Amino acid sequence: MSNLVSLKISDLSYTYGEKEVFTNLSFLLKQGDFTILMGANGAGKSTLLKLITRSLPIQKGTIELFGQKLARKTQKYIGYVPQSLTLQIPNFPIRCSEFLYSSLISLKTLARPYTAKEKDLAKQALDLTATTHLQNKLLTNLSGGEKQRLLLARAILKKPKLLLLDEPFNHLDYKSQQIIHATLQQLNQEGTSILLISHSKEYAIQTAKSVLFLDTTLQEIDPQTLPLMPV
Amino acid sequence: MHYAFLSGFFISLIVPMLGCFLVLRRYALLSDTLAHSSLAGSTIGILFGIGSLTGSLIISIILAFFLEKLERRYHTAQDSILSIFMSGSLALAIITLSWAHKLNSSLLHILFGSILALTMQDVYITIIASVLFSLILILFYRPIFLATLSQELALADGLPLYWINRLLLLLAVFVISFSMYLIGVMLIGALLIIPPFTAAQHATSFKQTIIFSIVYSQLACALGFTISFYADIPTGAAIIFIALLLFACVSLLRFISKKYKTTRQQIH
Repeated sequence: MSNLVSLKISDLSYTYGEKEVFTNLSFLLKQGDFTILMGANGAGKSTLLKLITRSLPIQKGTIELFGQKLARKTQKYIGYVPQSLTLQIPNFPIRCSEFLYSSLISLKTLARPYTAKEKDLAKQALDLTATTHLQNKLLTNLSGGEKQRLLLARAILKKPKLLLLDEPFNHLDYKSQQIIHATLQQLNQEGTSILLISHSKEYAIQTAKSVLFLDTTLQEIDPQTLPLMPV
Repeated sequence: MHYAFLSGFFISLIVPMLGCFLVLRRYALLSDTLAHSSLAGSTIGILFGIGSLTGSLIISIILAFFLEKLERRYHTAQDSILSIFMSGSLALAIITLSWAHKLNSSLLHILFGSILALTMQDVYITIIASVLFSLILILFYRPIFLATLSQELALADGLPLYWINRLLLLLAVFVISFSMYLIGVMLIGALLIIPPFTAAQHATSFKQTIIFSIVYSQLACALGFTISFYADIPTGAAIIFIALLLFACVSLLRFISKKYKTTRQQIH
């Protein structure tokens, strides 16, 4: 395992209105780590990911990605898989390939055609997540498992150094779970750091190199001791 | 008449293109609200002698940014607030026009459009504005598409969401203000949303939806102008009526096609 720090969180606190979600969180995620974030509902796990992805503004504390303070330019290191994809107008025709290629959008790729390299990256991401056959389908016609795999394909397309996943296995069929699990394992072996929210003790024991438990503060737990702890 | 066709051709390029993004972003009611605020702004412009277009743009931009801030704070489109501003704008416009003693003639033209009364200068401005806004929308198509589809993913990918949302709103304000005189305040919202919904019935991608929306919008304008000219009815109303007919026809065809496929599958 490398000593390079992927993610450094220092004294991070967040409050929704008057409700304090968590206080003075600090932890390090090193390159190649596979860390599962657990905690009760409402503990702030998704909030933490949203702070890292800049969906929410930092109120107190600091977040650093690969040695740089969190900013728009550091988002290139991140791949993010939200809990679900909810379209504003559910039946509006959006092709899966349009959704997939939206991962490559930046101010540098404004109006030029996608390059052969970018198309190759897309193909690799689709192959890895077994979603190649979904390219020309509409988003609205996908099952929950297919949507989740497509979200993962989109997140890994740019070969991120840090992958953030918010409960990726929720309500998924066994096949989709296996495909996502295999994909994450392969990416982690190739050096991608992974921070994943899950409620599954079994998955944490089998897969994670470390487990963080969030309950207003953050404590690192040995996955093997999980059955002894109430979750 | 040919001025009307020329202006209508260019307007019906940009309006449905923008409409696809506004529909996907759930800004349909916001578009109507901006159209009504455009009306209030243009009447204030007439009253104070700064020009109806200038007044329309100033008031609409202020309201658009205010409503967007409201949506960011409360995370929903706040239909009731939009309805309040819509009604308030219309009331303000009527009061302003009555002060300016131009209630009858100006109000009718602004509410329902006066495309057949265009001058050559109006046509030039319409063409330049339509081409400019279309080019901007094409240039920023990809970031606006992602920001419209999912703000969460757009932020995670490092897009300047704040500026992209502002750009979309500004485009909406400008397009509505320029189109208002041709289609009318009461109906510009309809031209923004009906062609995209018609196209969405059978399109197999977002880009296809845009292309088909333009086709349906062009058809509606061409047929609407013709009917309006020969039947002596307001142009905006004729255009929207044709757009609705097209929506109904496409819906019916789609329904018949689905039934046919289901029946064939059952037989086999």
